[in-house]
Amino acid sequence: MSKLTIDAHPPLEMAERMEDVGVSKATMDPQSMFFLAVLAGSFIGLGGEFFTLVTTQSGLGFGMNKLVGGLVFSLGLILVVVAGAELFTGNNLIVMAWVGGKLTLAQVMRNWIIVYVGNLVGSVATVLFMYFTNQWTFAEYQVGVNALNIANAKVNLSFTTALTRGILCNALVCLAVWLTLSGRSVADKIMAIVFPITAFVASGFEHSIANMYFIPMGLLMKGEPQVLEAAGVVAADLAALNVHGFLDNLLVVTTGNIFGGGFLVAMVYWFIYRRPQVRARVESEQDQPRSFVTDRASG
Amino acid sequence: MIDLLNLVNVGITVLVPAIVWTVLLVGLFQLLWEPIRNARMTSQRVAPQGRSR
Repeated sequence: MSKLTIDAHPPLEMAERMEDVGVSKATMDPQSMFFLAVLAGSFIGLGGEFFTLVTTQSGLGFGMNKLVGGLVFSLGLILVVVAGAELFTGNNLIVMAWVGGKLTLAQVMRNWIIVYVGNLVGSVATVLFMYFTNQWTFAEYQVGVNALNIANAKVNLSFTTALTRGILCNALVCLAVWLTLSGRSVADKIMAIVFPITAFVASGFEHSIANMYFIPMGLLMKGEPQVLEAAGVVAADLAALNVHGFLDNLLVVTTGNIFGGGFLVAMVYWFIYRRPQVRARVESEQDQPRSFVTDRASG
Repeated sequence: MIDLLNLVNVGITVLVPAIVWTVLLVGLFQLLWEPIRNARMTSQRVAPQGRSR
């Protein structure tokens, strides 16, 4: 009879599990991978929508408003992890299976490309759904104004700011995913997700997939005269808020996200926990044939 | 101090994209090259059988 335990999985086990999860994610059939990615894009979009709504005229101070916004945004990653979906930023952890020699770089790229495109489709579909709900007209168009301001702030970031915010964002997202591997129950996983995600959102870090919701939503709001009037802005104030600005932001933030998740979390944890094991295995494999030859020679 | 910050700034803005995009380009190349290599290997395996007939 198996022993019931509530202890968290130790980091060494988490690293082994992450490699196995990485292999199963990267070798999944492309159709399932794509549709799970579309789901993840919509889930993150729903988190973004919840964030926009709750932070509109909340009446809270700066820090508390950010904190509440971060807490509600956690919905996105909770849905991704618990319900099951393929999120590009979380999948940057697949790098662990690559450096562990269980996957080729081509397999990692195949997963990232399909998942990135799926995430974009899911996010943009959520933007369209949200637009037609007319939620942006709530509070005398202030929800729309908030969406507009969020998007405009994102497309006006400098290269270095967007890059460093992208790096730190995905370091926290991947740490959240990494922590979920320590959990045994749904409650464990939710608890593991909430604080890192709240920290990244409250800190104003940049998440490429969340931006696939926030910036297109801002683009739609830019075309709404009532929202522009309520925001008290003119077209010149929103000069950078266009498709070019969106793609520029995505390029830089995605680069930062890959570095933060793939290099600063995945590679670092692989180096700490898996490299000694892999080295020990290779060394024992090198020793075995020699002893076999010696045995035969002596026999 | 300011020189050090400028150096770190340049390091981040140049090195991070360079590392990431190099890995992505190598991965993309491998992804595109893999089917071509597999096709070549298959044709090489089939060719001798054809001759033996």
